[in-house]
Amino acid sequence: MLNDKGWHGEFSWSMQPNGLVSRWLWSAVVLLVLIGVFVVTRRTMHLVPILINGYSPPAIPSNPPLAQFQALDDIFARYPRLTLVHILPALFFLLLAPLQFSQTFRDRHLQLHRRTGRILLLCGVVVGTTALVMSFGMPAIGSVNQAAATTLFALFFLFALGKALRHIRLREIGLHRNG
Amino acid sequence: MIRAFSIGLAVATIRPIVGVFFATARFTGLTPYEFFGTAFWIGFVLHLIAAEVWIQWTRPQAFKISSLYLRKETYHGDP
Repeated sequence: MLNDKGWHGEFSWSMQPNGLVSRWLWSAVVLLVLIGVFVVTRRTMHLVPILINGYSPPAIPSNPPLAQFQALDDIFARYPRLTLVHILPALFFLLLAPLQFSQTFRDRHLQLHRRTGRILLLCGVVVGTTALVMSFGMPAIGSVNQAAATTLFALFFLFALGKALRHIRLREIGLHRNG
Repeated sequence: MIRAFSIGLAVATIRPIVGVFFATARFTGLTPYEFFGTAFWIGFVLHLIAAEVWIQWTRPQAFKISSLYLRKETYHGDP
């Protein structure tokens, strides 16, 4: 098989996972996307009134587990703008990204795949950048340990996005897919 | 994109992990301050491994043939 760069040939075939593995993986992805959608919806419903009416510290419940949950919510409640700028593009990213991996979708709607890819890239950059800002600018629930994880993986996420963009500009489809 | 999407999805995986830590907190004695970081590391690393396994598994198996053999003027048969 000759590639688009000329005579530097590369014979290849793909190892395709069987149908059961693919179905299992897609089910896991759908489940995780649904969890993500639920989390973003819940957080948005909590933060939008705070953004409109302003923040007021909530009463602390006497039940210790409830108090812990409240403390978690309260951290985000003190930074409603930053949190929303992080989670709303993340919602778009979670909902749109699975489409990009569908061969059928790419074959039938290549232009839409490209447009969606640009939107995803933009959302991804916002999500990754705000994740970094949140890691340093907000008190981390899990202390330095959590901040270290979110910082490292936000950088990795942005790096992977940059790699995906670079490879598609060089028309290296396989490497673009890996990202 | 697989790596980026996988890391993005990790945030959803972290929720059930945090749930397990919360549910077992009375036995382990861990507080959210102690287990949140661990939950984040577990979630992100699991997804990173899953992405790399998937990429390796579905990677096109390729063997490159030197361009020398493929150039019209020098190609005289199978390498």
